[in-house]
Amino acid sequence: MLAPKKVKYRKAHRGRRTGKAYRGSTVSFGEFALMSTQDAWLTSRQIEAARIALTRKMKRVGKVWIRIFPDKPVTQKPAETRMGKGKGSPEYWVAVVKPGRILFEIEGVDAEIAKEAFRLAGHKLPVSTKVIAREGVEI
Amino acid sequence: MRLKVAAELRNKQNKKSYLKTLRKNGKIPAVIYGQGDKPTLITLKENVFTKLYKKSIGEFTFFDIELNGETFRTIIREKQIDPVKRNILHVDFLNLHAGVPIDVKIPFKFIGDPIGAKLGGVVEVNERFIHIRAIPKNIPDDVVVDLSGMNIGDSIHIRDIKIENAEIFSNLNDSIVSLNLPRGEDEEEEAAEEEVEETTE
Repeated sequence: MLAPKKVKYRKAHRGRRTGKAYRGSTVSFGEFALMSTQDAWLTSRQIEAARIALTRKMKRVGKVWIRIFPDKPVTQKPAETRMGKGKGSPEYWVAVVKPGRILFEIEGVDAEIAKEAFRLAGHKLPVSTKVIAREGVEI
Repeated sequence: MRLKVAAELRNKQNKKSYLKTLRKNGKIPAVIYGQGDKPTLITLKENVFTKLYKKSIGEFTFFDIELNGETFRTIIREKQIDPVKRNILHVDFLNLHAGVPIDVKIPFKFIGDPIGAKLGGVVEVNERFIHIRAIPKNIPDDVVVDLSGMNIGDSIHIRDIKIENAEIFSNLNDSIVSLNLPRGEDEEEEAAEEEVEETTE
């Protein structure tokens, strides 16, 4: 699963997820891409599950790029703990995603296989998604 | 490629509400600027320009903008798109002057079936554009890259490309396209399984 090797600060604020993803919203590496149309926190488990679904469908042809990285720690307090006594301990990592963000890109497969692979991968994610193609490539 | 597009002048007010109204009425706000010229604010018809733009993809295109009887010979310098709807929000046109060199990115056009593809090799495109400086009349529509002689393990680099009357700015050692054998199925399965195990731990 994806996770940072080391971080400057162990715990982070929640932040806000307003607006659209103006960065990371163009198809830069591959031919086809999976784009999020909603905002969410995607956990490293969800990203990994989507990646496995994607590569299984593509078999051994083509290339995959993961365009998001879970670099935000999420903390949780243990069960049946009274409130207070500080912030909980980091439990897992998430990637902050806004509408328009490219999640995965692939290259070297047909449009039909790409669409099906992205459909399967999209089902592993808590956001609605859309399959888009690089400018000049038909989908 | 040369394409003609009709444009209208627009108000100098650049308020968000005004631009939103324009877009709602099927128009794209745009600007024409160039060396020493004053910027000209214009609008384009969205349905017409979008079709023309799609036609221009894959080839370097000059846009001849007709505005009040005057024609501006331009290229697209920048365009803004909506990240979700993927429609064009704004276009910057660079007005060209004859004899003045400009920096542009020319798309590659890949032709031919590589020999190595029959042996199971997969073509990997690493660069899709080449960055050059030339005067407008010397700018080619595209740069043809012939893949037919490629075998497994071969690469074509920027240094192998020759463009007449133009200065190449891309890194000469960059690979444009390479032909490699795909990763083994067993290898990939093993990697996936390992990662699944890690996840369950």
